Amino acid sequence: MKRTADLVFSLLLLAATALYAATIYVVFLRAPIEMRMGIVQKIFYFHVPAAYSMYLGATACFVGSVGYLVRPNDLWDGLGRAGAEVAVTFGAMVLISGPLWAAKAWGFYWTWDPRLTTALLSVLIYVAYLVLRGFAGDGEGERKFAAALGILGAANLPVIHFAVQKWGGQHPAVITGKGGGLQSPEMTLALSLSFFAFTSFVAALLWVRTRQKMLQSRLDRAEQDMIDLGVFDEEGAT
Amino acid sequence: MIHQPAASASAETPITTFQAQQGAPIEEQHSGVKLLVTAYVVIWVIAMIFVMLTWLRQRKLAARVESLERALDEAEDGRMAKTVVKNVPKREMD
Repeated sequence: MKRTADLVFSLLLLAATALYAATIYVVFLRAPIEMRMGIVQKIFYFHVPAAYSMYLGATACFVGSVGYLVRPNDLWDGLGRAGAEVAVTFGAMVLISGPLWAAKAWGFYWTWDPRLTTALLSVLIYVAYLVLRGFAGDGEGERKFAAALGILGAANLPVIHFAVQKWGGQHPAVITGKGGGLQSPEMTLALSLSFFAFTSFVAALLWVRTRQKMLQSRLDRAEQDMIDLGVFDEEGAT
Repeated sequence: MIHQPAASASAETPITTFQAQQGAPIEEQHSGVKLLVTAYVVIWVIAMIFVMLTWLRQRKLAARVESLERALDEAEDGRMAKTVVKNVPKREMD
């Protein structure tokens, strides 16, 4: 079982590396420069998959949170926490790369557009989740409260996605359910490869962080047991 | 030809398509390249920070496991010493 887990993790990392290499090649050497925005449009090939990765992390956090409330164990708790970390990491990529594109395309870095605002709110919810887990202890109550926050965070995801359609705003709506607005097959290839690369990378990160969190919980309990037996203290051996 | 920011167009209507340029390459403003490189570097730096933090946490966990194993060994040695002392006949101890 452990061997299979290690093999899956190695394969995910290998796939991510190969796909990132292919993505970089296609984005910078094959995909054409966009007519109106110029080269800065290429940020799109990393910005959109990063946003999608944030959704993946948030979904993992949601699944882990619901799982923990239904059946509290280290696996669900670890998945929830790993998902929140991934959501914050990729959310930061989105919130930095987006304004850099906007500086050229719109002439300013930030505006309180519905999609930008809801994306920022979502990242802040997951930051709150991690702050809670980092500073409020690791008891049953804290875990359950964080799980509730993880579910609340997921409720914001559809709002981010449909914000442009419902409330308008300036954010581009190139990726749509109607096939998208990419007018060149190489643009589509670059974006598709990037999506696959980010998916493999996120899966590997979720995998390793969840396992690490599970191990950490087991270790915490083992240390506590040994403290209770009087053969261990906070500094180490007694 | 130099690119103008698409701000005026996008301020009223959101962009819905990306089109490939036609004919001769469009001369790009330097800032576009700078922004692209900055965004690209930032994305990779954030990813690397996450991987580094994961690696550091792994090291910390390994150190905790080692400390726990040491404590177990010491407890085991202490128990064995007590057992040896208990088994030594009273006369030998005197």
